[in-house]
Amino acid sequence: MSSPLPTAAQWPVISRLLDDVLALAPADRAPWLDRLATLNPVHHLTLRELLATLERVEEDDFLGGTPLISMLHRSMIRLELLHCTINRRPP
Amino acid sequence: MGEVTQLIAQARDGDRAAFDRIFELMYPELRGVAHRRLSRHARDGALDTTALVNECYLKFMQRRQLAPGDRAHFLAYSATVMRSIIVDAARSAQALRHGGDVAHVTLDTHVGDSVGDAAEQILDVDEALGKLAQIDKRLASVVEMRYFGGMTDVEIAENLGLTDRTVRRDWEKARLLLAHALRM
Repeated sequence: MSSPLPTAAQWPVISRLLDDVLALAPADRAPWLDRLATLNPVHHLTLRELLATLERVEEDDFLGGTPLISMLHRSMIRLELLHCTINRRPP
Repeated sequence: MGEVTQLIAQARDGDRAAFDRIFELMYPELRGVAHRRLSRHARDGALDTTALVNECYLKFMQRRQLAPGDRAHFLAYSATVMRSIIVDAARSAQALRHGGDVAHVTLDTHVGDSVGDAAEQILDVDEALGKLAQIDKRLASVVEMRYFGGMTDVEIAENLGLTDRTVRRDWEKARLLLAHALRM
């Protein structure tokens, strides 16, 4: 962690730009980004980084499931049991 | 009027104490349901957040603490409580992992690693979500309801007074910002 997130002041403009680009087909996003470099150079870099992240988010299905609470809980139980076993082991 | 229904009405009017009381009532209830579902006999079963929240909802309904019309609000509060339960569990897992001899047992390193990975991701997402809330509170709420609360887009839309299409777009933008913050 972490690349800086947009500030609350920057976000409304970036959010609208994201709405525009996410509505496009993936193949049309690179030309859109090229146009943005001329039209809105201030936000071009941020949008370019976010679109690069988008590819990884979709590939990895980031946050695609609910948190692994059951796995976490089961593993905690196993750790607790193991801990008890170790503590009871004779010196 | 049931106690929870009354508290929800007060909390919606901005009464912070009512919100805290809802949290106090729901935390042990949801945690208790989760523990029972993950008890010795059910240890190998998966824990489905949606099923867990629904079981808790039915309990409050049966006790007449909650009116049927409050389901959407109840689910939203459940998501906040579930986030807290999950984050507390992740912190406990990390403390347990780092606190004893267990971490040094080679044979079981994979157990510690799996706990560590899951706990670390949950804590990172929670921290990034706090930052997201400072930028756009609605996006953070959507993540809380969907990721921690297991709510559907339709349920979230109903709760926030949005279309489900807007919720899907909010979700897309929110997880993009979170992934960016987490340097995915």
